[in-house]
Amino acid sequence: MEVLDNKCPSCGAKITFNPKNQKWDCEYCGSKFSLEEMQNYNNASSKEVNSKNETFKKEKKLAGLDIYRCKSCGAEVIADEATTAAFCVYCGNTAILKNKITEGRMPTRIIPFKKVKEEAIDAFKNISKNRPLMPKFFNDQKNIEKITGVYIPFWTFDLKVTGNIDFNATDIKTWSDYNYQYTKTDTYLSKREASMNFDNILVDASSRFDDDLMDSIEPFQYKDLVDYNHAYLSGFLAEKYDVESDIGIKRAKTRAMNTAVDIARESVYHQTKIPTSNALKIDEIQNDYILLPVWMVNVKYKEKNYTFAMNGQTGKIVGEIPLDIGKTILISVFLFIIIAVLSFLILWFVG
Amino acid sequence: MINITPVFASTNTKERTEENYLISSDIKITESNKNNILSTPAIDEKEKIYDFADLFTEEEEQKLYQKISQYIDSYQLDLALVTISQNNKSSPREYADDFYDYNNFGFNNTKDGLLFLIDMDNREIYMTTTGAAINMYNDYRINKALEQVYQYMTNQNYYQGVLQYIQIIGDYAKSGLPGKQDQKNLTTTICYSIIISLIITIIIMVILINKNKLVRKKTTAREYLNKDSVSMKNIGEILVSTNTVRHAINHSSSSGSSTHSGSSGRSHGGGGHRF
Repeated sequence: MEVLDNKCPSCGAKITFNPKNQKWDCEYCGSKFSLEEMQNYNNASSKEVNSKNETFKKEKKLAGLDIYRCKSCGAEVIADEATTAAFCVYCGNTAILKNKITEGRMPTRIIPFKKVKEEAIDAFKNISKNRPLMPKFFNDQKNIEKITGVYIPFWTFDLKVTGNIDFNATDIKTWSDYNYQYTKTDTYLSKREASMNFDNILVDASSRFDDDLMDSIEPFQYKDLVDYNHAYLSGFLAEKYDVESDIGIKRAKTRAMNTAVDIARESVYHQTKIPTSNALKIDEIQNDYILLPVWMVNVKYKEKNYTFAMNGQTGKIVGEIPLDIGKTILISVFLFIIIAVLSFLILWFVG
Repeated sequence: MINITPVFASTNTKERTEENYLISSDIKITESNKNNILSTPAIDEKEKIYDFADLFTEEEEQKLYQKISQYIDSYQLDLALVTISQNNKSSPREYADDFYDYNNFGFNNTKDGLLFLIDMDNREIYMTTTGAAINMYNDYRINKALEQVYQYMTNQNYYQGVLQYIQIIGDYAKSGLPGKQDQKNLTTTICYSIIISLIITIIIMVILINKNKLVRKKTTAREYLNKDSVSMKNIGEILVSTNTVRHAINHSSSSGSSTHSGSSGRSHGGGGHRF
């Protein structure tokens, strides 16, 4: 894997990735570089260094990255030197410690950000449209400023499901003549032998995020997956995985199993079908560690933190939206009175 | 001792002949209904109780006559009670219809009224309705009334059964025509509006609250399925058991009043119940 320095090839200043043109823009000299151009420049400048010393190259993989640890919640995020984390993206705390990163498994692939911060701000502001019960917290500039682009670590698992599954199936037929109604119940034992593969089932590798929240932010389009490069991180934060793959796979297996049972059930052509004995087994073919782009913001409402996230590739928004109790009561009472008066008038004068 | 026959002995019949059919002038005599007329006892329609099967004591008949008079005065519907031990006609319905029509029961031109028949021959109770009584007693009310009294007949408690019957048809007449008894009433209208509003408000609020739910756990992985890799073999389809059960169908009629024509050509509603 080629590791890029995030320096502008023309002026040497720090350079950041721009999701809009999928290039690296230099704020100082205005130059724009594609991945290829960055790589060419990089190869030329580091060739002699690399050939001298293999161990140096290995260290360089993680060199140039800082790790920030939140004193309050313990979250760890990675940023390159060009990007500074001023507050914890998970709890909003500003007391965070900066360290040089030293160890860890490297992601193999990454989907670079496609949505820029302005799109994320617009999208978050639009959540309250058509949601009258939502507190208006995205009108607050303080909250808008906290919107941060974070690469979230995910595991992807390739799984193979094989084995037998039996269903208890029934058909019920009813008919009648003049005197009686007849009900005929046929019960079958349907046996199926199944085999199927699942590719790249996504599992959240960060314990910071609610798994359900990360489930909801799916799907990501894998066609945009590219080989991982530190250069994509410039301008964004990245989280280190803290859920091991052997823990994450359980969630992937559960989802694969449910789908396999569903598919087997669909192949049984009876009215009701209940799986009776399930001898399906799931084997892991391979797993992968990838980074996916997410715009996120934490909002404090009534002493509780609410996380909102936008899929940095597709723009899909997820989050647990709290109810504004005052508005909820107001709207309920208003609705109740209006509808009661209307229905009274209709019943009294029309009905 | 000379037995003075009271009004209630009610088995006094006059003789019908081809010269004098003793029927109301609005009924046309034809070849087909001639026999029906001749086989129908001609009685005095003012007596109201015709106990040919002798199911009631004289005292009971007096009390029943009072009840029947009350009913007739209250609701302007004629009411006759007939019991027979031998039915010389094809069905209780035919007997009841003929008895009503050829004896000139019923008020107004539409012959409003009803007749309750206890047919010991067929062991069936039958009520026939005419004119305004057809609308008052729809199929539902007729079935309900008969259902509530037939057991008395089964238990040979005829007097109580008829008392109960008069009570029930009186209650129905009091509550008005079916479907029209819900008069507009301020408190019930307010109650209905509140209930309707409560339901609609709850539905709207549930929809609004659900809009705030943007997080849903994923429990399946269908989007990651490699469709080309799916192989699903049917390795056995065994019929384990089959069984058929049957339930008797209860032939209950609709909420309307179904009518038929008697041999006289008049229209009747009605219904029967075996006991």
